[in-house]
Amino acid sequence: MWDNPPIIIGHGSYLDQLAAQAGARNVFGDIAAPSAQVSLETIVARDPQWIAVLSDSAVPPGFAKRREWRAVRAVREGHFLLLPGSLFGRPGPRSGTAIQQLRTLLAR
Amino acid sequence: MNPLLQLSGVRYRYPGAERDALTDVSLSVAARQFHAVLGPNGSGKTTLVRIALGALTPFVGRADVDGRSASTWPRRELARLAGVVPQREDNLFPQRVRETVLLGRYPHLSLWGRERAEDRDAVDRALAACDAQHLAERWLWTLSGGEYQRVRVARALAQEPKLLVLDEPGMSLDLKHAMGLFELLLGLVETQGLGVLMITHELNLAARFADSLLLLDAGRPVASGAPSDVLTQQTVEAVFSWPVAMQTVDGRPQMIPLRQPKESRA
Amino acid sequence: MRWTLLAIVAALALVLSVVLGPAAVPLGELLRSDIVWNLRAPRALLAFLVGGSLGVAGAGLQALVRNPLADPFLLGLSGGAGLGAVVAIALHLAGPWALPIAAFVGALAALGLVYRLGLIGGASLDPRILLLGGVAIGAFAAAITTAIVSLADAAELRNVFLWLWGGLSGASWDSVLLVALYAPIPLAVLLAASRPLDLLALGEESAGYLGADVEAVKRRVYLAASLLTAAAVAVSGVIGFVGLVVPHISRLVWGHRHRSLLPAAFIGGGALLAFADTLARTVVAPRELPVGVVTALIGVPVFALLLRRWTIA
Repeated sequence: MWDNPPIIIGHGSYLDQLAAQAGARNVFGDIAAPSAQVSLETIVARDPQWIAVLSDSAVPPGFAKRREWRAVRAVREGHFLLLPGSLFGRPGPRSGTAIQQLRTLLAR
Repeated sequence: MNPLLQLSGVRYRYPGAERDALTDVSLSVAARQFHAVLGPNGSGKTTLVRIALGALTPFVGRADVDGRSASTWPRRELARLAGVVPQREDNLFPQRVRETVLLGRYPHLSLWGRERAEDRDAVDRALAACDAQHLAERWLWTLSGGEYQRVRVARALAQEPKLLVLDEPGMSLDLKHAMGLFELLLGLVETQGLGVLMITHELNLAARFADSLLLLDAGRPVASGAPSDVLTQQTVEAVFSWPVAMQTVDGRPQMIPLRQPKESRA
Repeated sequence: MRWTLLAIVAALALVLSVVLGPAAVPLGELLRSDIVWNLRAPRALLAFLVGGSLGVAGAGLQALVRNPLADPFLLGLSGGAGLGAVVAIALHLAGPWALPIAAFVGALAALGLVYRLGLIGGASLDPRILLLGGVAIGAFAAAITTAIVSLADAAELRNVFLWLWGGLSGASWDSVLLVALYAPIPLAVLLAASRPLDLLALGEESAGYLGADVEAVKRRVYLAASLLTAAAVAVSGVIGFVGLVVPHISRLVWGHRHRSLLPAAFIGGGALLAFADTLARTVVAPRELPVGVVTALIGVPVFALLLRRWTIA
């Protein structure tokens, strides 16, 4: 997701499908569009366990340090799923690998 | 007693201009004096005002206000001494007469101070002197040209100045309002002891009301002094490039433009 | 009387900001709610501060350039801020404050350029050149921004446009504190210029003869208004129409004397933005609209109404 303004992935997008196949529930699965802007407070209210971010780095994203984001439990606990863009950005032949990776990450 | 305004041998040229706007101009205005500066369009009259009040600095010569160089005067102090009615005013926002005259009190107000009773009194006095009290609550856009001009003079008077400077005040005024304005100015000189400097191209009105005239032509002084000395037929014809006949009314010279003879019009 | 009404409207806008939102918070739990204290309250305050700053900056600018159509974002600042933001993202600058700082720097760069342009005619700041220069520099910066975005490969860059449309989602007590410490100085400068601004309405020459130090006033007002706008853009993107419309509405009620107009524009602008933000968060819940969209949607009809009134009067 993108942080300013917060843009989440909705139902039907690639990442949403991958997540479903990996056994995870998208807290914003009720939104029909592939991506949408939401308020931070909505994220806090829906209290996801994990926040998936398309990122090629191994460290938590910069916005994790921002004060307003500390209201999200998953941010406080550092529960980030850092997903490389090459694998998770677009549909491709390696989707199976992607789902496997997700499952592993979630199991921790 | 220093004269209120004094120009000595002033020379000025606007950046990029081909010729001087003013060359070797001298002028002196004291209290209780009504001076007029005359000349055709482009003779440098407005430039003279700007230099006299320190908005421009002369290349040669001096411009002094009350004995001090005009450009060294702090703006607010100068505004307490000289009330100026420039040629044009582009009032952007709608206002009532009383509000706009109140703006004239700015040089007397402190940064955060509210308007005091004495400021409101000054406004009332200024409006009374200009015979404009009945206009006080009117919106500016509803005023006629003559009324608006009076209001602008009232605003200058609200500054409680010793000197009034007006640039083409009679322009776009009809006869009645122009005469009325000039009578008003003369009255202020006589009753309140103000000095008045007026820029105008209305020869006849200037000659009737002013004590002293300065005639400019292309930035150069042609003649200065009492109206009957300055406005001779020869001088007027030379400066204004038009044949005239001169008459005397109330002891003051009045000019009557002549029509071109048929032969030269052909 | 009018001030009381304005205060009530402002208080109402703030209360609504705190009470309403996409996440359902029962009234009883409001005071204990994390969401309310850490998210809604700072957001409401930030909206108020930013909206107020834009309202005052707009009023000051309209007086300075003697043009009632002036909007703080005509000065080219939004273009500069957008460019700064895009550059920050393209360079992968790290840090939670990278984006606002880069946007602020970009806005200041644009400010410097336009100011320099404004001095082209000589030592006197020409308001018409400020306006034209602002539009030109803003367009130039926007063009470069678009070029970078279309050429670069990061999907994130496309999201910058959403940021640019204005949003208060970056609101926290940190940003509120920052703006609350920064804004009072330019605000005070503008308020102190109230009387000279009244005089300026008569024209620069007349204002000078009435005792105003016209050049100093122009410089101060321009810089103060620009600094306020730069901070607003850095913190919340480009929120249009507030700076344009709020001064006009305030003038309808309070008249043209800047001593009362500027404070009214502050409170009015603050209330408007707080209200617009509440709408942005609630009308399409659980999704959110960019605040700039809401202010434009409210602002355009209001502006059209004002235009009608202007041409009739």
